[in-house]
Amino acid sequence: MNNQEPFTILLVEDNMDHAEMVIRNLEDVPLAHTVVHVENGEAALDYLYARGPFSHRDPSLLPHLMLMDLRMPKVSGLEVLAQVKGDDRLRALPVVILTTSDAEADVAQAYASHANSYLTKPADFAELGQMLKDLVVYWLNWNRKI
Amino acid sequence: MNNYTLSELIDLSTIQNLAAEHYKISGMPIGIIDAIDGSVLVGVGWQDICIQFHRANTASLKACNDSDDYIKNHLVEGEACQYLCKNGLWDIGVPIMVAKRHLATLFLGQFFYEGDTSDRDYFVRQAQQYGFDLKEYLAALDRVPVFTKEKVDSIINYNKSFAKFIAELAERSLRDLESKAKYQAIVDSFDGLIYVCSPDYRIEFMSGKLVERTGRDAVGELCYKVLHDRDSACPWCINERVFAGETVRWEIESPKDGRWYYSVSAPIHNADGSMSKQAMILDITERKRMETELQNKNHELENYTYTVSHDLKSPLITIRGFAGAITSDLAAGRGDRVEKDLNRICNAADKMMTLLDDLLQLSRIGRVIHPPEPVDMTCLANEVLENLSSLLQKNGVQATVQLEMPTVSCDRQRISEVLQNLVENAVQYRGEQSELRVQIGLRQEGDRQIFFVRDNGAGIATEYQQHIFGLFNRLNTQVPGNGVGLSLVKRIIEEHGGRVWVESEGEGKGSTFCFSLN
Repeated sequence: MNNQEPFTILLVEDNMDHAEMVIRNLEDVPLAHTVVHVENGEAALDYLYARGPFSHRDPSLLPHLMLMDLRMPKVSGLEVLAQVKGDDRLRALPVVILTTSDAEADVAQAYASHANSYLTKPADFAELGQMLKDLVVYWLNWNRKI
Repeated sequence: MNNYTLSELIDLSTIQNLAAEHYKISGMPIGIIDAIDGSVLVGVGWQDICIQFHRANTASLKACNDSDDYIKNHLVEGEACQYLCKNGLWDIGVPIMVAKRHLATLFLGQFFYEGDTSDRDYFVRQAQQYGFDLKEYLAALDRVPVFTKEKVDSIINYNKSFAKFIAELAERSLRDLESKAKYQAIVDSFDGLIYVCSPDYRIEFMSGKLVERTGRDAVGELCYKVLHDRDSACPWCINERVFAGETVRWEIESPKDGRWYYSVSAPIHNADGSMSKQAMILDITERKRMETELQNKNHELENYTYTVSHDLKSPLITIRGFAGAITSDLAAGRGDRVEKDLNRICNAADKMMTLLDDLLQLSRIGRVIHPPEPVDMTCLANEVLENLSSLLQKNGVQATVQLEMPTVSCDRQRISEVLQNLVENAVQYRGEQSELRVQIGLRQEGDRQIFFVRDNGAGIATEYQQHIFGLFNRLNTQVPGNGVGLSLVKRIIEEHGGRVWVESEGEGKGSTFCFSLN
């Protein structure tokens, strides 16, 4: 997989407040990385396929990690997941679901669609910070890439 | 039930033949008399002395009747009652008891025992007493059969068995009638349809309700023709399994009337070794409809719980999250983001508040339905626009109402909410349109009146046109709103028995929200 530099996280989140919280917490993680925020599933796909508003991008460069909400208007997180995991070029891209829902059906469906991980947004700000830090450390430092 | 007479229970002509042959062999007269109305059911070998003399004379008839009464009162099941009648002849009665009821009496006689005839003087006196022609009377007397004691005992034994045999036959026939009546009662009280057919599809029995539904008693006709109007066996026919001995329970949506039926088909083993199929069919259309409705409601409820919990949780996370952020910012001496973050908290709390209000409103629909009243739709639409005038003015919306729309019967307040929601919706989702026009109107399609709210705003792509009526479903989260409005509209219209949908040629092409009311 051809990754862009530095370590890039594609954040797909329609709730602007939640996105802001995630971005702020990620800023505090002491490992070099960038965050690209898109507001819905449609924009995430545009980004990955370098089309529409992202047509200027080099489509061969992919983010290192996708952090995606499930419930979004138009194209839902599950639909994006299905597209990514069904595409030979994108399949290896780790997709972490980050959502408010802890409904069992959502968890099961996400894993059935080959999500790499499923996280429920903690209400506590410090907990969210710790979780995101662990997440970045894991995927950036520990996880073996292709 | 138990009021049958013997002649209703068995075929007496065979009994009459048996009695006649018995008389030929034994010479003993036999009669079977109905115990209730006294009618003669079987009779052979009546004696002239009885018919032409004793029973033909009022005075001697009284003696006959007294004798009959005596025997009648001394009958015991399984026993023969022997009696020398008051006119001097022997008579024997054997009761025929069917299901503990005395239905008839088998009489043997009249006759003489050997030795009785020597007392001829008794009869000479009797002829004088009643004024009988002596010569003829004595000639009749001489024709009365005479038996030895042994012969009579043997005849009695035979006829006790004969009476028992008749009683058993009658009892079996009674049980048959009772079981038929029970079956009939079951068939009649069953709300469904029952028929019996042969392996070659010939109807052998139809219940009254099926006859009523078919319009005729079609016994002998082909079941697939009569029931399903087909020219060959139905493709779903389960006869093969039933005639292999299986009881088959199944449900089917009839292609004839589109209704759902539950059917239990069971094999019947007939006495002649052949088989029939009994089918009991219950119309379960209503149950099916309710099941589907319940499933839909359950699904809706699940969906509702899921979305409510998600959509309520979301602002809570914002509130907790930013409260935490403010705390840590203040601890670090960073005050620059605090005001903005507090704003986010307030907005999230407001959002929850609106959401809860809308949810309450939604839950009231279906509970609070005002009685329908005649509502002039042009008037109502104008009122709605009047109420929204500041919103319309602020957004520079040109709103119009079609003149002379009809008066319809509906819940005035709810339909007003529908129009208000649809107009607000048009303003909210105007898209890039700077000269928004909204029109409330009516179009007639056949005998259906379709009201509409048309705009030249953002429009909706075909694939989302169903989706937008779902609770909390939103196409554009950048526009304020919580995805309750259109589900509210849908619920109100459906409570009125109507339908709501949107017509749009796509994004940027404007939308027409349509609804019918019945």
